[in-house]
Amino acid sequence: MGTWSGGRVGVIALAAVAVAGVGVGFWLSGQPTAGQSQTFQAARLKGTDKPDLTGIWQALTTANWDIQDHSADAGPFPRLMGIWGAQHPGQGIVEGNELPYHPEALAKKQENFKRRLAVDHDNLNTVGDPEAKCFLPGVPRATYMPFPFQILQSTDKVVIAYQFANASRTIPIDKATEPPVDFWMGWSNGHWEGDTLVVDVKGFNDMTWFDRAGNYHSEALHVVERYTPVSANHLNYEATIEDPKVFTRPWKISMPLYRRMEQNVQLLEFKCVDLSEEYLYGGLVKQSTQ
Amino acid sequence: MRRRLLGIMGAAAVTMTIALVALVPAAGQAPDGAAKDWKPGTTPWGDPDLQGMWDTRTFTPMERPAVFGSREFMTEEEAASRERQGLTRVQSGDEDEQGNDLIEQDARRYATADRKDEGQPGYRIAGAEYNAFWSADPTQPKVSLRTSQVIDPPDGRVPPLTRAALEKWAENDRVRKGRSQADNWEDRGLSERCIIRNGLPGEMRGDTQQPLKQIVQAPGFVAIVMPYGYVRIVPLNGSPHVGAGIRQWNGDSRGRWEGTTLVIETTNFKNTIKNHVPGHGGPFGGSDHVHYYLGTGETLKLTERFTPTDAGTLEYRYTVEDPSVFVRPFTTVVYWNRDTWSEQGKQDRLFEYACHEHNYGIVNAIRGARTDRAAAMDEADRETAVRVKERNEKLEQLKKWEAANKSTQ
Repeated sequence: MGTWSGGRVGVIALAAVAVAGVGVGFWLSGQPTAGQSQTFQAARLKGTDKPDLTGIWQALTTANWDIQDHSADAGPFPRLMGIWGAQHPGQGIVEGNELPYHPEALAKKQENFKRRLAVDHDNLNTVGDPEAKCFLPGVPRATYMPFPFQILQSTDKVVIAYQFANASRTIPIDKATEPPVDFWMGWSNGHWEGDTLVVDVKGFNDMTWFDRAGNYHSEALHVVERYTPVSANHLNYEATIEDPKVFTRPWKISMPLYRRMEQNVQLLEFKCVDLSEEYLYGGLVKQSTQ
Repeated sequence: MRRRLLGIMGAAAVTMTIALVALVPAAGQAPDGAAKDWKPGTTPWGDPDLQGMWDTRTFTPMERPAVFGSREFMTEEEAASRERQGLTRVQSGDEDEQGNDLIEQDARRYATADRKDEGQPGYRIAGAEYNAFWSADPTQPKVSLRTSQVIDPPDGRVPPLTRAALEKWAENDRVRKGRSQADNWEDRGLSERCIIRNGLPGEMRGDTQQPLKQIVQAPGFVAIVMPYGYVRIVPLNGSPHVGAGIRQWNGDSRGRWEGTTLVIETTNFKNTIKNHVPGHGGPFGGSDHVHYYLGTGETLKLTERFTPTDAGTLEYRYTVEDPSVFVRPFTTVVYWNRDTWSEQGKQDRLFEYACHEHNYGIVNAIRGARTDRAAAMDEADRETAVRVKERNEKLEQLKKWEAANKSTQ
């Protein structure tokens, strides 16, 4: 492993340093967690010295609409959907709110937004918001979609299962390997820094988005996530986003994750594939009958 | 002896790896039942530790081939001969043995495939859509001399389908009458549509395309990472199943420990009978298609038992109770082997199953059916003919069973 993927990743890493001189400093200095209690001591995973993150968690932000600040809006189909389809207002999750797009990349983001609900049968997986099509949501978007996800923690592995589209990640701890191919959900490697679970994710494709606003990335995306318990029922979630092809410097998002407290809470199936077929393929049937 | 295949499969562009092991254990090694006095390790929180990557391929046919008569176990010689002949994908009762040479096997499949209009738009190679490259090495871990996975009923055969299920099946075919192979997406099977591959319990059995399952445990939970795009999360806390109003493709699972055996009970399945159309996608489909064209009812209760029998083996047993589909319950047993490739640290996770994300197969099927509707109608007729043949066989099976049960009463 690593013999044939190392080259590409190495080039990207170099490019990141070259393009984002300031950003690297920003990233390194960005470690202390806002709002993190210095005194909170998380319960240990039974029989180990690691904090136990097992549980069902959910973000309570409107970032899936737009990771930047956004106002209320009627949404794309007010005549069909009424207020069911309205965009909820919300404060963004991006530190400083600005996304450091390269100019041509910003143009693509705006084009994405315009065509966010377009279905192109010859470009199924590259046009339109992947969420609308029930595609695997990618990282970090899976974290702040309006669905719960479950962390299952073992000694040398952590599994994160997401309700949306049955997405999941298996994250080996302290045994980092290079991505052998690219993935919708990336290739995750974990390690502990004190009580913080750090997950380094790369090996993405260029087809997932950050939100419904068309914010996007390339296959050079590198995400470093930090899950820190700050109370018995809260994690602080931070992610540093680096993608020198799309952004001029790394940037950071953060939000709390809340433990779902219902006595009987569990993940339910949201295998949305069959729910997306009319949207994806309906046009094929209609076109041909005209 | 070791092979590692990295595949990107056809229209659905499925990415997966298969780590394969051709294991030839000592003759007669613990075919059934645990090694004496051996106990599995425990997790730091005190549960029996079943974690790891498991190779679920099996050498044992689902149903007992007629050649074995009423024998529950085959001889070493018979096992060696079957292994040599690569009978891994043989259908139940089918003694038409294939060679185990992959190229030769492909050549045979292509030769017998339904070829028509080669090079023309209607060209098809039904029955040979995937060549043997995509399947695991037919030489398989040999840990059981059983002649069938089905151990109950004792004849080693899956019980007949109920009259109600057969009627439902016939109704599905009536609904399809006059429809082409792909008038719309619902004319294709659940697997082609990337909804479920085979479903439960089919996906738990050895699948030659992706035989690995990964078990990860956390306090209060067992997670089974499945190769076809989801994680089975099994709570062990004794909580009741979700309400009857919640129906899921893979049901709702609850687990408990009985000694070192993990018992999982799954209910709340969707009614998949109505989704039964050509192609893969039946809960009892898989590498030996027992019920290729039939789903399960909401009444399905699946009980699975995972028993570690030695450091490298997990006995996997399931019982199906679904009175709306089968005339009586049945139980199967197979043995899962620790995947040594993974144990050596060379593979620590399954690759994601991004099937729906590139499903140009459905787009092209619909477009194709509209481009040449006559060919698409022909193909639908061919698919229906195969289903009718299978349904008639099932009806005969049921009649025999009814006659036999009347005479013993």
